[in-house]
Amino acid sequence: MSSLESQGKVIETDVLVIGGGVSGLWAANRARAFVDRVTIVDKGPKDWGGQASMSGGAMDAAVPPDTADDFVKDLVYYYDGLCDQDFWGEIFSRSFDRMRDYQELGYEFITQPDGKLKGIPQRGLDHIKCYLGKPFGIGGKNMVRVLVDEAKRLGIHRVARIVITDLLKQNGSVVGATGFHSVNGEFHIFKAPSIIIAVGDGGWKTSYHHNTCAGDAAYLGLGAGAELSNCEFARVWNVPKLFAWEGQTYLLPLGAKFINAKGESFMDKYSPILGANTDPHYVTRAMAIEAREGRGPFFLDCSPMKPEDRELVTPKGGGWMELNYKKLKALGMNFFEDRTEWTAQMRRTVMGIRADMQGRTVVPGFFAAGRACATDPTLYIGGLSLCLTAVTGYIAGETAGRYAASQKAIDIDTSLVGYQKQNLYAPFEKSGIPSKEVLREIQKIVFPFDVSILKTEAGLKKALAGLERIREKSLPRMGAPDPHYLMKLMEVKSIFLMSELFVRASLMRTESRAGHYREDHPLRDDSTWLGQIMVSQKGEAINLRVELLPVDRYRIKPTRYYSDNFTFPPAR
Amino acid sequence: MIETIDLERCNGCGICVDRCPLDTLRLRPSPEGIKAFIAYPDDCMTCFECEVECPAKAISVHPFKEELPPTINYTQGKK
Repeated sequence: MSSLESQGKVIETDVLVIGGGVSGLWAANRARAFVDRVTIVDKGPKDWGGQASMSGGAMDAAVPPDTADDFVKDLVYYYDGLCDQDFWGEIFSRSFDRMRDYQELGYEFITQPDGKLKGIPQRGLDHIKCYLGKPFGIGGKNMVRVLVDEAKRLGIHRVARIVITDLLKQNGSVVGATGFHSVNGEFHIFKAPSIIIAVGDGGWKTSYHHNTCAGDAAYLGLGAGAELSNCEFARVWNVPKLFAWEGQTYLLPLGAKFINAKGESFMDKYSPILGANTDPHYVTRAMAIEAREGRGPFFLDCSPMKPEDRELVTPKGGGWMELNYKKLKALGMNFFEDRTEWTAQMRRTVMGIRADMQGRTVVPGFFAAGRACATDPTLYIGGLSLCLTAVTGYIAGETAGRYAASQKAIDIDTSLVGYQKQNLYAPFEKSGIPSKEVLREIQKIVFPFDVSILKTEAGLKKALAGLERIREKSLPRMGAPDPHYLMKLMEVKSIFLMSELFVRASLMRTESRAGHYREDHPLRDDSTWLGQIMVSQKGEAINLRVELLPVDRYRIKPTRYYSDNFTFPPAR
Repeated sequence: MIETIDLERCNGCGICVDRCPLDTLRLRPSPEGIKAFIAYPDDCMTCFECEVECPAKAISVHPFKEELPPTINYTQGKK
């Protein structure tokens, strides 16, 4: 039998963290307290920090006198009851500690004139507040910088441009991973008794800051035997049609309004209470209905905003947003004075791996952190992701570090590695259908509103049939002329998987709740559906089953529902 | 999407290549020395990272993003 070293480059570590975003950085830094060798592997640039590096750097935290219980109460209402109260209770109860860690590491949050942290209430909720980072709107880069500095200080090994494509198991436990370098193509084998997956959720490659997350968690997690959930929930966001813009969360409370082609502030009709100041999923739902009635396209009208508020949210600070704003101006587009066209855009699923309050999956040696975990039914709150990533990263790092310290030497099955390598490189240096073409085919099937927003059985079944054609005709014929394209090909494979799971779970959930709206089943049905659709894989077969939430045991019983603030007309 | 790299300004430092999240840029030799080039233009997602980080101010990204298949279309009501 050939040696492991003859197959590729071998890296041995105690804890391997897949994904170098903020959850991965938190996990690695915390794991280092328990073991000597911690490695972060990322398919992107070294130390770039993932999606958070392009975020505003705002974070939710239960800052006293707010309590974790108050925050969970808000989420139970906001998520229409579909809230894992144990999980979120743990996250919020540790959120203020992580916020203070960020401050100790040198990250600054914006304070009020009285010196207190400036918390912005979110989505009309009673308690949850978002704390803005410095500089306003582009603080994410600083957040990443302080975590990377800490990783360097702790001697965390960081490797870039390596795409992990398979996990290695031994007697049911995860013991390693294999992948390749996206520039030189070199095969890599990681030996690690403890692996944390921190790769984000699944995107369809639609926006600048959801650039690398492509369903890797679903692909790797399901293959390793972990369970997934929240597959039926996708982020369908309202975005400018032509360019990118961050921060509608702050524009809408300051008076900006979405209007239709007739100039009507259409959200007032669907929710007289909240109007346009709500979650984008309700706005895009209204947009789809308005468009069907012939009242599209849509525009963002900033004219009701006060001049001082416009000044506050005008991009500055030298980051990409300022550059973007100035370039648009040079093209004759003034964001605040013109009515810019906005539309609904399918962006990414929020599907993720089921992990418990300690970050453990059902597979020994395999842990999950950040947005790779299943957490929410897609309604968003500004700052929630940076709260989630810090706390779950810290927790998963602690659990995985302790676990690794208790493990004996591991033995990797060389023949399994050889098999994985052979499969991986099968499409390599071969001509075939470009993976980008297949991505387009998938987008054309999954994006239309009767699959993504106003879901119907007919729309979803048509989409499933379309995906089936891609599985048979296109997926096996993709080619990868070089290592870069092999990376893109692997991403399209995982995007296909998450698309299939999105459609199948959407078809299964015959009710409407939070970010999932079935126009043919517009009502909530707590007796059947106050729970998660759990997804698992055995052999080739993917199994979906419903697991109800243990509401009897929960302290907070759902009595108010955020979706009751809206009235959408029945399907025609 | 990324539009141009000004080869007179580019000093071949490779920062843009290292920083691109999508692995869109690469270096290659030219008669004037090593220069960056847009190796995989289709993969650009308009994050501006290369332009923001370029010390020679050689890169220009157009603010318009790639056109995607629509989620809603406005002929829906006109059938």
